[in-house]
Amino acid sequence: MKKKISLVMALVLVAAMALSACGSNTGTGNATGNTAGNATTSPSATPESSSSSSQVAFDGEIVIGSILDTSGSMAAAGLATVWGADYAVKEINDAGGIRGKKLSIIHYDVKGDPNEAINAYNRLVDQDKAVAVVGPGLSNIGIALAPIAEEKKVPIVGHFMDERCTTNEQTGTKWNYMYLAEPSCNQQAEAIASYAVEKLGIKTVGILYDSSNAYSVTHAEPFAAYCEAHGVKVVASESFGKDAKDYKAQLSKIIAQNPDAIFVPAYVQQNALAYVQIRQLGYQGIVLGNNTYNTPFDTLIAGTSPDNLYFIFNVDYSSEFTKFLGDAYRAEKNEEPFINSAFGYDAVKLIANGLNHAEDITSGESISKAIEAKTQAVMTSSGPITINPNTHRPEGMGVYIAKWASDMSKVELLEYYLAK
Amino acid sequence: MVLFYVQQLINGVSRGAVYALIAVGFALIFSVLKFSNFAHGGLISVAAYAGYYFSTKFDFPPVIAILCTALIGAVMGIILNYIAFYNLQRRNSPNIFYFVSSITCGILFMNILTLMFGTTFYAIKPFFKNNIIKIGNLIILKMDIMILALTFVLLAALMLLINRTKMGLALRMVSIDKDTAMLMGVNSSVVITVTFSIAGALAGISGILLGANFTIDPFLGNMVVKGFIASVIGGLGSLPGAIIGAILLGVMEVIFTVLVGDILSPAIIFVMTLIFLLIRPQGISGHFVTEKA
Repeated sequence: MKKKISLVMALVLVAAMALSACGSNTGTGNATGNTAGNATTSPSATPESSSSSSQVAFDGEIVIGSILDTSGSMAAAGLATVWGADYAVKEINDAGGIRGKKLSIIHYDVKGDPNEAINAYNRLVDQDKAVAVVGPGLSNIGIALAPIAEEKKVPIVGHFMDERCTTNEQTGTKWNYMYLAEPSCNQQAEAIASYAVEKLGIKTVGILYDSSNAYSVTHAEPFAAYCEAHGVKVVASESFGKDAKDYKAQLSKIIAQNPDAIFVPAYVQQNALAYVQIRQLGYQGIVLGNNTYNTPFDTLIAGTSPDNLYFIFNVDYSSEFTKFLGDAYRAEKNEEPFINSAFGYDAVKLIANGLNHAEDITSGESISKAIEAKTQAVMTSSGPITINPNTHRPEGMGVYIAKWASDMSKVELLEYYLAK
Repeated sequence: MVLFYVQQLINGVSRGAVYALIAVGFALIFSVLKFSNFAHGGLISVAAYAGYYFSTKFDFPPVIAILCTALIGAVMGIILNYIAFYNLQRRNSPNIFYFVSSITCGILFMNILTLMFGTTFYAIKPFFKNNIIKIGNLIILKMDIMILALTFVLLAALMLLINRTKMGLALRMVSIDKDTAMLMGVNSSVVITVTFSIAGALAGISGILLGANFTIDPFLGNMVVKGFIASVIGGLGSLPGAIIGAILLGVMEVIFTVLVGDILSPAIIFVMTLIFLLIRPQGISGHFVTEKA
C-alpha cells in the first residue's frame, strides 16, 4: 500500500516538476517546420510570416539558442524576449536565411536561476550544437555565465546590463564571449542622474534598490556616484530583498530626509509597488527610475498619478526602426509591447550579423570574432548598434528620458541621452 | 523623531496585518490536522488571480469580489484535500508525505499559474479611491485597516465556530484523535473537508486582499512562509497566537529594517526567533500542538 502511495506522490511531484519545466522545452526547428522554437510558453512569430510559407530554399540549418527566464519571477520579460527573438528568426528566414541556411532557435527556461542557466548553456553548446546564444536578461545570470562562456567559446548576446557581465572584474579586461546589446546599467543610471541634475535641478536624493539583484545594485551605485560628483547629496540609500513587497519602512526613512527626488531602479513589479507606496506615504516629489517603468507599469499603479515620475526608455515605438515591431506585437497580443520584445529581436539581429561575417559559421569562436569586429551600425529595432571591441558593449547608443502622460495613455519621450 | 517611529510602528502593524491574514488559514489546518500546509500559498496565488477577474475584469464591488473569491478558495481547498491529502489520511501515511504533498501542490499551483498568466503582471483595481487617512503627519492606509479588521473578524468567527458549534466540537475531536472521533460517530472525512474549505476560503480572502494591497504574480503565495513563521512564534496551531505572532513579526521586521537595514534584518529576526523558541517552544500563546509534519 505504501508503495502505491509513494508512486502517487512521485507522480504528483514529477507533474509539478514537468509543469515548472514546460517553459524549458526545446522545440528545435526542422527542415520544413517553424524555425522558431516551439516552447509552449513561447509565442512564435506571426503565422502569416512563417518560414514554411516562404519560397526560399534552404540548405541545412544554423542552430542558436536562448536562455531566458520564462517561468520565474521575470517570466513576463523573458517571454517577451522570446517573442522578439522568434520574430527576428522568422524575419531572417523569410528573407532567405543566413548564407543559404535556415536559422533555428532553441529556447531554454532558466527560471531566473544561475545554475539552471549554466546547465542550459552547456546543453545548448554540447548537445544542441548551438553556435550562439541569446540572453539572459538578468545580470546575476550573466555574471555566472561569463566564465563558462570563456571556456566553451560560444558567444552570448544579451541584455545583462551589469558591466561585470561583459568585463572581468578581476582583470579589468573584456569577457571574450559576452556581448551587451543595449547601454549598460552604469550608462543608463548616469543618463537619468544627469537629467535629474541638469534639467530637474535636484540638490538632494534618496535611493531605494534591490540588494539581491546585480542589475538594481549597479544602477544605484553609479547613480549615487554621479550625483555626489555633481554636488547632489545622497541623503539616504535603502535596500530591500528579492521577495519583499512592503517597502514602507525603508521609504519612510528616506522620506524623513525630505529629498528632492527618490531613485528606484528595480524590476517593473517592484518599481510599481515602490512608486505606489511612495505616494501613499505622502511624498509628492520627483521619482526617478530605470528602464522598467514602461508597460505594464501603468496597469500596476492603477489609481495612482504618474506625475513627477521620470524614467529611462530604450526605444521609440513611433520611430522607423521600431514601429514595425511594436505594430506586430500589438497585432498578435492585443496589448502594448513589452520592451523586452525589442531586446530579443536585437540580440538575434546582432548574432545574425556575426553569422553573416564569420569565417566559419560552425565555430562559436569565429562567430564571436565576427560579432566583435563587425557589429558596426547593425540595424536593430533600437536603431543602429555598434559594439565596442574593447568592452563588448554598445557605443554611441543612447536612451530616452521618458514620463507617462497624466492619463497614463502613453509614454512620452522627453529627451535623448547618448550614453557616455 | 517620535512621529517617525510612530509611523514606523504603523508600518509594522500594517505589515503584520498582512502576515496575520495568511497565518490564520495556515494555523487552522495545523490546529486540526497538525501539519504545515504549504499548499496554502498556492491557494492564495490562485485566489489572487480569481480576485483579479472578479474585481477588475468583471468589475464586481469589493465585497462581492471578496465573497466570490472566498467561494473559489473554498472549492479549491476541497479539491486540494482530495488531490493531496485524502488518500494519505485514509491510509495513515507517514508524516513526511503530508509535508511533501503540500509543498508539491503549492509548487504545482504556482507553476500552472505561470503557464496561464506568466506573460504579464496584474494588479487588482484599488478598493478605495483615496486609500490614505492622514492624522497630522501620520499616514494610515485604509487597506491596512481593512485587512487588520477583517483578520480579527475572521478570527472571531472561527473561534465561535470552533468553540460554540457542533461542527466546532467535531473539529476539535478530530484534531485530538481522528480515530476515536470516528468511533464516537463523527464523520472525520466530512470534518476534514469542511476544514479545508474554510482554510481555502481564508486563502481566497487573503489572495484578493494581498493582490489589491500589492500586485499579483504566480509566486504571491510564497508569503505563506511569513505566515508559517508567525504561527511558530504565536504557537503552532493557535489561531489567536498566529495573529499575535504575525503582528509581532511585522513590527520586528520594520524596526530592524530601520535600525540595521534590510540586509541584516532577516538574519537578526531568524536568530531572535530561534532563541525565543529555545526559551518558549510552545510560542506566545502557550498552546502547543504536536506536529505531524
